[in-house]
Amino acid sequence: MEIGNLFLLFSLTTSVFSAVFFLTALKSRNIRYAKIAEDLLYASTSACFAALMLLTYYFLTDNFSVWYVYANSNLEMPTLYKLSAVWAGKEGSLLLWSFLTLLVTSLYISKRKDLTELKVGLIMSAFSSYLLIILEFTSNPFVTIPYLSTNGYGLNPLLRTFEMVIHPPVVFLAYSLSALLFSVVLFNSAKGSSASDQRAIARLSWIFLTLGIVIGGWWAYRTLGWGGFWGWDPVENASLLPWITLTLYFHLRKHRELFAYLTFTFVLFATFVTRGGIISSVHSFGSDYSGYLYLAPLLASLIPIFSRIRDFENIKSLCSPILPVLFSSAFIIVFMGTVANLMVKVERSYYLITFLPIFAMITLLAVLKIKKMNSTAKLIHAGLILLFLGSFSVWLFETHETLILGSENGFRLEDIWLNEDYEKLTVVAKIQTPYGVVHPAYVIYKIERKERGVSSVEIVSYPWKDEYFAITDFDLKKKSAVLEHYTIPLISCVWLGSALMVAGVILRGFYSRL
Amino acid sequence: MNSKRLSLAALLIFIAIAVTTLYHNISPYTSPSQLLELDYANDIQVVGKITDLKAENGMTVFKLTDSNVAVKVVYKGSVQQYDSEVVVIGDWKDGILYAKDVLRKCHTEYAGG
Repeated sequence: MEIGNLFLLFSLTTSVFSAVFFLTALKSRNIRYAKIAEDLLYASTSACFAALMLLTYYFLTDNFSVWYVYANSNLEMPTLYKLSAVWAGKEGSLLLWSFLTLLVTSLYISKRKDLTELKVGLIMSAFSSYLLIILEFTSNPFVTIPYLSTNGYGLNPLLRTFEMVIHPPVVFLAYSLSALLFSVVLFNSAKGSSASDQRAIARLSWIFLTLGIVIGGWWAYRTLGWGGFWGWDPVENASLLPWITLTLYFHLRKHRELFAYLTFTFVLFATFVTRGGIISSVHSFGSDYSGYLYLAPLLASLIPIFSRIRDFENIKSLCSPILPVLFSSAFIIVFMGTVANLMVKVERSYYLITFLPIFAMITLLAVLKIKKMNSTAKLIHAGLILLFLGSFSVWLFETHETLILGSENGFRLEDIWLNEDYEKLTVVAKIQTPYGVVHPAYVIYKIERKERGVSSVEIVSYPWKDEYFAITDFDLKKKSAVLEHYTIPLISCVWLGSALMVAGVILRGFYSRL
Repeated sequence: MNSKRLSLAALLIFIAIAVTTLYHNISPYTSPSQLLELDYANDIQVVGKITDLKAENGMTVFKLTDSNVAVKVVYKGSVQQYDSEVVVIGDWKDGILYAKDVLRKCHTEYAGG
């Protein structure tokens, strides 16, 4: 048996027994069982970490006898991308998520020594066990292939960026923290150290969820060549849903716990959408139905919500009675669009007509209230205002033109040439534009994968706009190229606004000691 | 009307607007098999995988398949033989799909992840 499988099985077994001992300790109130449960949890975390490290080792040493390594790597790939390839696919990312869930649980459990510890330990070790079962039986990264391949299939060229090294760990850490938040809120009273625990975990979840979304948007902008940071795609939308519920959580005075539950529910919904294999949709994985397994914890997470559904009537906002309505509307708009998009194509105009006015009203509230806020809240809401300005400008006023170079005034293809190294072919165009000389490129990787090419965009940035250039077609013999040119107003506000919001929440955490 | 009822009314109004807007801003996907049943169609969105990719007279020509049948697509632009499905938006006439745009499956659903 592949040694990685042994680590996984050990991690799964210890995690299951950890849950059993947490339950026994709860029932018997015997501290000895609690200690055993805790030790089993640490053993499970360690074994899962060992499996992750082993998979990383296989990538770094080009062990193509492991199918997952073969499918996501090749000899010529730089070490940094071999590292990111560990979580580039379904199997590796689930291993990472399982480990991070076990890790945050272990860290929480190690600090608390009370009844809450047992209850949270029980829920979290049961959830970790469930992830490990999916991992072991449907998405095992240690499956070997019976022949030795001399080279791998290669990583998707779109994922060969630095952003993709950090994006999945950040997103999965947010997902793990949202699971922990769910468990802690479920069993904690909202007083004393329990309340500060909740706040700290909620803040960390929000920070990593926001960072994950922003890094994803930054990556899409820099890599995909369509001049935007948000495509209203179901996967992007699904990541926005828990963000909306968690943001509303911070704005409520009464019954905010309902939105902590919903955050975890919609983290699982996002996972289901991403991995669900919903048929008749372009946003599916075809034959991979393992995503449906996430429906079980998703339905389970609804239990505390439905059991307290009447509390929704008495939700009280910290700042404005209309705020929960606006957030709920934004949530429902995105949710309906996401679900519809799994079956039919939803036009971008739907979101512009519905979401943008709600976003504008939320921003207007922030503008009206900002004077009365403390300094960190001011920073966060100034970030929101900038984010709105940037998004509004990009979504409504971005311009795009496709240029066949040579024929348009102001744009001249001065040269186009081919560079080659051991890993890739790079077609570089030198183009004279009204904004100076730019060198957008098109990179073709020498890999077995049929999907080999990716645009390397060039962006000329001004504080008030970006001029964005991407080559989508070229002919080296005729010395011609097709250039996509976008003028994107106030995109810098999107990045600056997001950064201010995250910085504000971090500072707020430090001021109140997280 | 108290604030609770006002909030509920506002929420229902927002939802009604969203449902109406959504209804007017959706368009169905068609498979190559369904496309073959039509004589002609404009601005149709067909989902399938790209095969037999080649260049002909400065145009990109490929087949779009749903595993059962394949239709010929002519496109003025470049595509790759992507592993994942694509959406071809274009006009269908005389047994050829004249593509105006080729959209790729979402990048974020990386490698089956």
